[in-house]
Amino acid sequence: MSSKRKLHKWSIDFSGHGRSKSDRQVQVQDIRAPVGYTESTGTIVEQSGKEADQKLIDKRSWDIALGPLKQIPMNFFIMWMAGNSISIFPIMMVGMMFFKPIQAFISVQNTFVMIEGSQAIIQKFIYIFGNFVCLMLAMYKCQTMGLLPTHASDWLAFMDPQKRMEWSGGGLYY
Amino acid sequence: MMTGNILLLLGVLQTLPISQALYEDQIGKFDWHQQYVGKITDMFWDQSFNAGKRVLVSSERHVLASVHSHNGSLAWRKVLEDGPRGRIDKTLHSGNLLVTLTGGGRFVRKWNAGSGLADWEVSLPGSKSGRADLVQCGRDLLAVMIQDAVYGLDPRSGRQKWSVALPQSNQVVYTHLFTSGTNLFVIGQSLGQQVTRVTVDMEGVVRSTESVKAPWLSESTQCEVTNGGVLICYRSEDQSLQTLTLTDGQVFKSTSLQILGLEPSEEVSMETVRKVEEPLIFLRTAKNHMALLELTNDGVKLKKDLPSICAAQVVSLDDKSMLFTLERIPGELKMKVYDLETGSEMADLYQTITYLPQHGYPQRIEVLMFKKRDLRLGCRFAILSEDYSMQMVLKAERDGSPGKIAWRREEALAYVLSVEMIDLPVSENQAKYEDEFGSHKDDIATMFMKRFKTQISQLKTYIQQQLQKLQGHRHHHHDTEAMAESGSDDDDEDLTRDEFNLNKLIVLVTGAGKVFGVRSTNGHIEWEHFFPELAPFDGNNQQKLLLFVQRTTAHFPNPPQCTVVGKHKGTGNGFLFSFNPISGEPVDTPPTGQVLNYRITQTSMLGELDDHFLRGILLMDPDNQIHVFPGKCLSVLKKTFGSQYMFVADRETGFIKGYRTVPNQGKFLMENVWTVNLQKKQQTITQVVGKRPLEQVHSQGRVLGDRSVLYRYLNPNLVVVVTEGEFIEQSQRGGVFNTINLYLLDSVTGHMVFHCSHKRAKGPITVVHSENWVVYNYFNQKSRRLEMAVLELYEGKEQSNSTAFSSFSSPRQPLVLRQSYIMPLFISTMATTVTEKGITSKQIIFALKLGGLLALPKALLDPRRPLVPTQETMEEGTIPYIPELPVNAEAIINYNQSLYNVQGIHTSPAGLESTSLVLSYGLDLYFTRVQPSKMFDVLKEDFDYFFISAVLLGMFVVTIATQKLSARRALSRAWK
Repeated sequence: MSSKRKLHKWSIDFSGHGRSKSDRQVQVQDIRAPVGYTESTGTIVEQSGKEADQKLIDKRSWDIALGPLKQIPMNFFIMWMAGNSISIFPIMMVGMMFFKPIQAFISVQNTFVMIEGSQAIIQKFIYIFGNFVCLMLAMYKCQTMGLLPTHASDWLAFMDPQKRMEWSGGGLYY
Repeated sequence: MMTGNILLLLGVLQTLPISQALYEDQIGKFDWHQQYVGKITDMFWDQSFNAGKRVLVSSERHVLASVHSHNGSLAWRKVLEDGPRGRIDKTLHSGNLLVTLTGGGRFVRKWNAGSGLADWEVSLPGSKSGRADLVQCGRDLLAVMIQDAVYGLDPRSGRQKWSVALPQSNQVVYTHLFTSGTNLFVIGQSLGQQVTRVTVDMEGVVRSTESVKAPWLSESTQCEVTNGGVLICYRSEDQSLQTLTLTDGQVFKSTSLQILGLEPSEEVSMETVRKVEEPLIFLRTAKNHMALLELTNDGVKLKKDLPSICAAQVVSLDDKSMLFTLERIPGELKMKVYDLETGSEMADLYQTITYLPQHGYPQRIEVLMFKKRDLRLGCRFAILSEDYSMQMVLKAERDGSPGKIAWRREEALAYVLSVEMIDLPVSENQAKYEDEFGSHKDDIATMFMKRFKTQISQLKTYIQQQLQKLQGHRHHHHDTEAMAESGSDDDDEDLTRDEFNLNKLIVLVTGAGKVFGVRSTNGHIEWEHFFPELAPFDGNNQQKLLLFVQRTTAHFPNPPQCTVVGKHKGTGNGFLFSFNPISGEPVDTPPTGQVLNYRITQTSMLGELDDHFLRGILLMDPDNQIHVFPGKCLSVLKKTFGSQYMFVADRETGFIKGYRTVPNQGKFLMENVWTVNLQKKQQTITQVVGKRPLEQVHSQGRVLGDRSVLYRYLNPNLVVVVTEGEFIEQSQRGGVFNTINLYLLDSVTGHMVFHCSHKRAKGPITVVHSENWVVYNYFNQKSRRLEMAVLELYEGKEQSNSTAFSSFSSPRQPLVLRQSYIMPLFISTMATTVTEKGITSKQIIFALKLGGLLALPKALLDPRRPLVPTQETMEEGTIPYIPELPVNAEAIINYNQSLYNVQGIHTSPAGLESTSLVLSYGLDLYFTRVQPSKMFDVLKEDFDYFFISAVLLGMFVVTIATQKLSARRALSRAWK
């Protein structure tokens, strides 16, 4: 508490933080606009701004949609760097490679909200496709590392012993 | 390249769990070692400096030993050579002298009776007939007789003083050597003709050679020479005794047993009396009927008839001769002592001794007489019984309570033929739980009460255990001392299963006809049964007594059951004894065993269990009829006879015959379906080795370097047939060499799966057959070394049938991989480890002739070991091939406890998958446990619980503290 008080002692509030909302409103309206400042810039600006917005939205949507695909070369590099040995770092990297697209799939609703515009459907499709490719890439990495149970040897431990059909006994004549 | 390979090999070897050496403080913690001497043939009270404190014994298992008379432990033991070279022909002990004659007169050795060290050894040519004799003549001469000569030796140095050739040594078999006065008499026998008597004087000069007509001499005639120089022979043909005085006798005098008033019987034998000068001899006509005979110039006189006496001895002390007799009455032995001169009983030496019926009849008694301080006579004596046991009576009967056996040595345990390890039953509490699940009729209230009671009793035992633990630490020292004093008769804890099911009850069936239940924790005998009429099957030069586990302990509340199958001594018919292996109580058969009315030619077990989880035994008689034991399992055979097969290999004819079961008028017959002829002219079948009938194989295949699977050929009916023969080499050098053939035969269809042959190779062969592999050893005559070979069978990369294996639809020719290695040491036998589920990798345990038990991982005996290692073989984990098998001192699992004459190794799974229990038997018993893949399923003993829990607790505290701190920090930041 004492520090707060001290702080109060030494602080000067320029923003009018402490004052009421109505006071601030009044003050802003009271101050005249500076020289050369016009409040309205006219309709042209308005129109060009709208077009640019659309372009920006498209551009941003494409950015989002192409994001996963752009990561692929990087992923390839990471894969190459990680190697095929099974140790903590390659496993972490493979884990990250899996984690990212899965996370993207989970939050796909939020991402789609951001994707707007006329090409939204294509962009959404490309976004999903990109993530899917990343996932495949991670799978491929697992495959090359031998982590996928694709061989018969991986299921060997679960095989039941063969049932014995005949019983035989004997040996040398006593 | 080569050095690279070796470095690689070393690297791989280091990763293999070869070493499993113990720490010093682990010695004796889970292993025990018992030393035996075998059936005792000669026994003397030590007369050297520790007179009366030790008993010197020699046994038919080539052992000379000295036994402490106060507790029965061995002071020292000398195990002589294996085979005929080590057989003890004669042991001589008088005063400080202890001399043995071994190997049919090949070696004369003088021993120091106190320390067991050999003072000197003399090597003699040995006797062709195997008969040799040794006598002491006065203080300065030892006379040794072998087939063609007599040698005079100096007892102090072993120096040969003289030697004399015996006349006509190629026609006469010299059997006895005797000294009387200043002459040595050598007795020779010519069957059906005469007895030759050669007189030699003390300087080694032949004085005379005479022949006495004895046309009645035959193979079955027993002859003995008594003190006083009388040769006495017993003819079993007309039950008469023939006597001849050695000094001057010219003809044999005949006396019939009937004239003496003795009942003649089949098993008449004679026992000489050595401790008195008079010519006396004991005649035994039955296990419990003896007679003391006196030999005079006129023939044989009955000195004393001893009806119902089973052991007797004449002892003299201060010129007074006494006759000690032992009579067995139920639960006790009665010892009566007679004065030999007057024939009156000496009442002050009469005593009774408590004697357990499972030792059979006492057969020999060795008495030590002494004078007590008050000048009264006292005695202590050792008893040898029918069951090979040696017992000692030290203290006489006092105040009416019978004398007690101070200790006993169960020498039958040196003749173990079959072993099984049985799980101990679960504790009472757990049994109650099982009981709860077993019955479905109870209503909720009673079930609740049951559960409540069980848990209360569980709590009670837990508290008791904790209390015991607290007290146990305090009194531990006293306990061990008390145990050492009271020997094996102390009260052990209850027979209940431990946490990991590591402790078992070991059932041992011995060639002496005795069956033992032994605790695996300490080797103490839990129960024992003796069957005087039980004999092992002894065809094929190997003794065999079968032990079947019909029901294990797993089927509560049904008790476990085991059955011993052997033959009846008298008739050769089958002999069965069925018992509960935990308590030793007989089940289904009378306590004295059941004698069948047919001979057993082969046995097998039923494939299926009956309603009470009992596995029946199939017994085949010479008429190929099949009998089921117990009879209640016949219903199982009625259901499953279609899948029950049998095979018999006949060593005499070289045929192997396969049979199937056919019902015939309510009985079952074995019908011959296939025959394999292994050409008896060229070779003889020496061994037929099957797999363990209930072997657990976990993995169906083997993963290769490219991650494909090589499926195993797991034919449960596969047997290995080993034959040995000789062949004549055709090359210019010529000569006869030995050859070995191995046949892998499907015992259901008779299909020859594989055959391989080793030329210039010789047995004895030991075969280990398990899973899909066979390991065997042979002696390579060309390189003169022991070699190990391994065969592994695979179906290939495809499995023909993954759910069932039928011999009729199995792959005809499995892939066979093989490799062989050099074994640097000679072995007597080998075995493989067995674990609960078969997941753990296997080890092969070799019993080395040097006395060690060597455990090598199976990975070293793997035919996929590559000559040149590649990436792929490294991926597979195979070790590059190097011909020599490594012998590492750390792989010797019995560390410095040498084992002699190991006959077999039995392995058994423990409750822990990582652990296998090993019992090696032979002259010694040695029990230990091995972990072929190290102890992967239990934390190690030296696991740092304190450190780990401290770290965990610390982490927990730090987590909570930092959480609190960060929350406060966030709050204060929000306040800014």
